[in-house]
Parts: sequence; C-alpha cells; structure tokens
Amino acid sequence: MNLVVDLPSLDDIGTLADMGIGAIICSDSHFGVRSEVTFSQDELSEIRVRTKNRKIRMMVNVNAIFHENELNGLLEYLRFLKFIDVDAVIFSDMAVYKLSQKIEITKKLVYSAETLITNSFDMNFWLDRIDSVVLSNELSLDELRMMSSQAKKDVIFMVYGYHSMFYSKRALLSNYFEYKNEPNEKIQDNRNLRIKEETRSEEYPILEDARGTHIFTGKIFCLFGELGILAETKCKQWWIRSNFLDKGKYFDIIRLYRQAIDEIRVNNFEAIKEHLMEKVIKIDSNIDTSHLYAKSVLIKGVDE
Amino acid sequence: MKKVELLAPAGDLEKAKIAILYGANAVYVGGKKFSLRARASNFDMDDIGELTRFAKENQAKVYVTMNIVPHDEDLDGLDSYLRGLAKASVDAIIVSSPYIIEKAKQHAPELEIHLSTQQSALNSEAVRFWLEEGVSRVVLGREALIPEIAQIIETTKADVEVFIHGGMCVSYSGRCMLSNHMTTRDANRGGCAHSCRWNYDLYEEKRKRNRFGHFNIGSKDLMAIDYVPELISIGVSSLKIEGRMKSAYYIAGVVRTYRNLIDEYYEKNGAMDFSDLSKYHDEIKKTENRMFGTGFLSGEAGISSMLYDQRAEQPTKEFLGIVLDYDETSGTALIEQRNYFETNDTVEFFGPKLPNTKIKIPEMNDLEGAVVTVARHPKQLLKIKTPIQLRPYDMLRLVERSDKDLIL
Repeated sequence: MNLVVDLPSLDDIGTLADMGIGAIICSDSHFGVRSEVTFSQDELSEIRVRTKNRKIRMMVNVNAIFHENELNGLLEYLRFLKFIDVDAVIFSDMAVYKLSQKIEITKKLVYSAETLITNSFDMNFWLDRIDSVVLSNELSLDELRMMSSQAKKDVIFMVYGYHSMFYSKRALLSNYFEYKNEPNEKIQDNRNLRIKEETRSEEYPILEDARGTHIFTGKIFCLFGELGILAETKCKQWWIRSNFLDKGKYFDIIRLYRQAIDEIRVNNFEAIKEHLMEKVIKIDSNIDTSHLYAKSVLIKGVDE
Repeated sequence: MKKVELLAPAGDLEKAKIAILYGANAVYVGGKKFSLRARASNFDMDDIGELTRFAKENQAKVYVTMNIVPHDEDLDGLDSYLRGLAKASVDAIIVSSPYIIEKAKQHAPELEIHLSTQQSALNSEAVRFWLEEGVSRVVLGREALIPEIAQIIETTKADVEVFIHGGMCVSYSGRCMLSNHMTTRDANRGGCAHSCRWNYDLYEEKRKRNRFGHFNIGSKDLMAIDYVPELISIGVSSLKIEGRMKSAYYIAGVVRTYRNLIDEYYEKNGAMDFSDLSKYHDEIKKTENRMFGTGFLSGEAGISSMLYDQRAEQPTKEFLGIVLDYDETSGTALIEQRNYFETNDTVEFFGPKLPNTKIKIPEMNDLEGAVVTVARHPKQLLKIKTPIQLRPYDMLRLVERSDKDLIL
C-alpha cells in the first residue's frame, strides 16, 4: 500500500518523506486543474530533485480538457516533464496520450477523468496501454472490490477528500455577477465559495478558475473504515486529496492513514480501527462514504 | 460536393418516421439497453428493425445510442445486442466506452462506430486517438468554437458531427456528477436529474453573495440557425439536433426548418443572404417556447447563453393535431387531436411537402358524424373538410383563437 498525496509546498517534501509517503501529486497553473496549490516550471524542477533525493514518486496533473490552440504548448510541456523525468503524468484528455506517444512517455501515464472509469473492462483497456488509472469516485464498495480484483495492474483510488463532481468550461460565477450588474471581485480562484441548493442544507465548494468552474461534494469522502478491505485488492495506491482542507488537518489525516497502513501490515488494523476512526472524525466530522453503500442507479422517470 | 447530413432525435417509432419524412437524413434512437435518456421511450429490437426498413425506403440512416458510461453490471448481453443491431441493419452506434467500441469491432464489424459527445473530444489529437481506435465519426464536445472545428476537420480529415439545436449540458459532457451526488441518479447512465437547473445561493463563509434571489447554473438551449451555413462551409459532416424526449411536433418543426435552411444553402451554392435568416428563426419559434442561445458557436459562452434566474420554457399549446388520413374524393381529413381547439380558430397546416397554409377550422365531425364544435379530448379523432391536399403526418398548429388570442 502506498499513500499518494497532494503537495502543499516545496518545503513539505521532507516532512512527507519522513511520513513514508509513496508519491506526491503536483501541478502547474495552466495544464492541470483542480489542484489546491500550483507550481512554476522552475519549482517543478526543484520538486523533482528533492523527491528523487527522498525516493518519492512525482506525479504531475495534466488533467485539463484541451482545445486545439493549446496542443503545441501541451507538447512542449510534456517534453519538459519528460526532461525533468517525472514518474507519472495524470491526464483526462486523449490529446495527452497521443502527444505522449510522440515523445515515448505513455508508460508514465495515469488516466483520471474522475467520472469515466466505472467498469473493469474500460479500466483494463487503459491498463494495457499506460501505467495506471484512477478509478471513478462514484463506485460502490462491491464494484470497487470487483474492479480491483480484475485489474491488470495497480490502480489508484481516492480514500479521503472532497470529490470533484462538475467541470464546466464556463465562468459560471463571474458571468452571473456580470449578468446582475454586480461587482464580481474576488470570484476567480476564491476557495471560500460554496453554493447551496434552496431545499438542501449541504453546501458545495465551488471554484472558478481560468479554465472554468468546478463544483465539489458537500462532504469529505472518507474510506478509512474500509482500508482493511481495500488492502486485500489490487487498489494499493491511496490518494488523499487536499482540496479545501486546512494544511494542518491535512497532515493529521495523512498521519492517520499512514498509521492505518502500518497497522494493516502487522494485522492489527481491525483491532484499533474504531479508535483511529474517532481521531479521523475529530479532525473533521463532515465526512461520508459517498456511493460506497448508496449506489448510484439508473432511474426511469427523469424530468425533461 | 457531399451534402451535409441532418441528424434528428427520436424517442419512439412515430417520432422517428416523422423526423425522416420532415427531412432528416438520419435519426438516432435509444435501444432498451446501454442508452442515456432513460425515459425516452426506448426502442426494442423489433422497433429498430421496423425503423431501419422505413429509413431505407426513404434513403435515411439509423443510428442507435449506446452512450452510457457503463458499470460492470450494465454490460451483460452486450455481444448479442451488438449482433442484433447489425442484423437489424442499423447503420451506426453512438458510443462513449472504449470497451463497447472494442466489442463492436469484434462482434458487429458492419456497424459504423460514432464517438459520443460524452467523451468531450475537443482537439485534433483526441480525435486522432478515437479514429485509430476504430471510430468512423466523432461527435465533438459542445465547447468547440467554429475555428477549432474547422482546424480539427482540416487536420484530421475526420467525419465530424456537431450539435446545432436543443438542450446542452453546462458542464463538459460526461464530467458532471451533480445528479449522482445530490440524488443518486446516475447522470452518465441515463438518470440525470438536471440539478444544474435547480435554484442555488452562493455563500462566502457565512455571507450570501447573490443579492437578487436564487439562481440556477443551467444553459439555455442551443439554436444555431445563424451558424449552419458556416458549419457546412468548413466541412462538418453531420448537423445534430438534440432531444430524444421531445414531442413529434417539435421534431417535425425543427427538422423541417433546418432542412429548408440546408437546402437553400446548396441551391444557392452557399451564396445566401446570411443577414436575413429571419424566416427560419420565425419557424423555430413556433416549435417550442424555450430560451435559446448560441452556445460556443458564437465564441466563448457568456451570459447570453445562461439561464440564471430565467425560466427555460413556458408550456405551449400551439400544436393542435396530426393528420392521419385524407380522402381526396370528399376532401375530408382525419385528424388526431393533440391540444384544445375550436371551430373558427385560425390554424396553420404544414408538412414535409406542404408549405405553411392557413385556414379557419370549419365544421368538425366525430367518427359517428355528430357535429363537434370543441376538440377538447386528447387523441380525439375528428373529420374536417378542407380543400388543402393533406397527407398523413401533416400537422396543424394554432395561429389565432376564434376569440382573437393571437399566437403566431
């Protein structure tokens, strides 16, 4: 089992290495989306040096959806990532796959469209071609176990954090304030905004950036209680996502997941799971298990 | 010069036939399995067989949507279903899952494979990827700008399909799970609850940022009349109308409007007066009272393409009935009622071969010959005498009530 975590800052690499992290995810501000923190190319180069020194895998988000006029820049960026020798490139647009073929880095690719890997066959379609995939967030626990058992290689699953559940190219919030002739300062890149549906109590984090608008779940997906089950599958890369989380709490969560792995390795996790879970809840009680036990369904009778 | 294809949706056999009769070169329908639009009266294999026979008699094609993002449990029976579609002489399937593409190549190689917009293909490299996987056509994401579409076609020589009319996701297609998380209805498996059209407030910490009531984040429908000539000129292969859940009247009116526009483009070798497409706008307005925008065809989609605090549609009752038969000897039409109308209402007949023709509703009779002054019952059968040469599938819509309530 390995923990995959978002990198909050250059200076955190040492701390994360000391915590036994297997891989970090980082991103620039243009080719990656939905990252809490972004880095310049110089900083990415420095991250590469430091992660190599500490034997941590460096994964880079190149997960935007790209338009025609961005392809040349995208190829140059992928060349840069190859040059600094990153371990993995996370993508969701087939353009990244095609351009990676040109520079022979497809074996470093990880497919993550967040919503589209929902069955074992599509999962293995990609595992035949690339290094790994991130399974979709909307799977039930049974589906997760079944897909993991069918996986031809190790796959990645998010085990803690707010799910991304919406990605639009449109600047939905800025446009709204323009439509109402209201001042729209502090809208773009503001990470403190939430939308609330009129009949529901839950608030959903919403982030508008230069690439559009992203909406996240109202609760933190937390698979801590199921880690013992997950450990028996081929889903051994566990991603702890940092969006909208306080850095101190984020590190506390990482430590607890790290401890869980250690306990699983000595067959002691189930014995102290409840005790650790209490600590997880104490850090942030706004958690749920998403679709693990509340499977999404095909519904007849949709309005339209 | 290969003429652009006009591709129409159909939720059932009647709508599919109407779409073809009113000028669609191809229709797309959902089967009982593997298709989005859960409530769109999906076709069984017998219906699909009947439709392909009807389509071939009318030189049209039939595409079947298999565009869900499947879970393992959805894939039972895939191989035999694909073979069944091939046997039924379906021309193409519309697919988003790489696995279904692989299986189609293996079990039904005679089927063309079209990549669904669910994959949000928006650049030439992504299009190349899918072409190499065996797809023969790519339905581009709705976020593509016209210069980007032109560049993609020029670079890849791909057979490209573009949406020109109907509802559109405000997100990248396939990348919205609002419905899943807010209702457990799976948007990528036909259960979208249209959560983007619900009412929201925006908060920053405890402070409400929107001051003027709730707002939604849904998109206006797409209406691309002004952009059809340009889309044809850059080499788009297929112009697609959205709306498998729409009425027969909507299908007829929208298809006929775009058919006439496309035909005029070719009749004039593209030398149309683009500044005056008002007659087509007027026709579209008769089909449905919805708010329209131009999406990304006029550039980046801004406030004019959003609903926010506006209603997407108002209920309309202009569609009055459909012609089932016409007896030339007696000049009597048999009409099936779809909305309330009365004797002396001014109505407009239109059809695949019938230009808009206005009359006042004369005396009406039921099948027993009794005089009827008010057609108030859905599906009520009525006979009226009219000198207009009508045909089955012609329709009538309201122009003016006898009490002068002007509609058109």
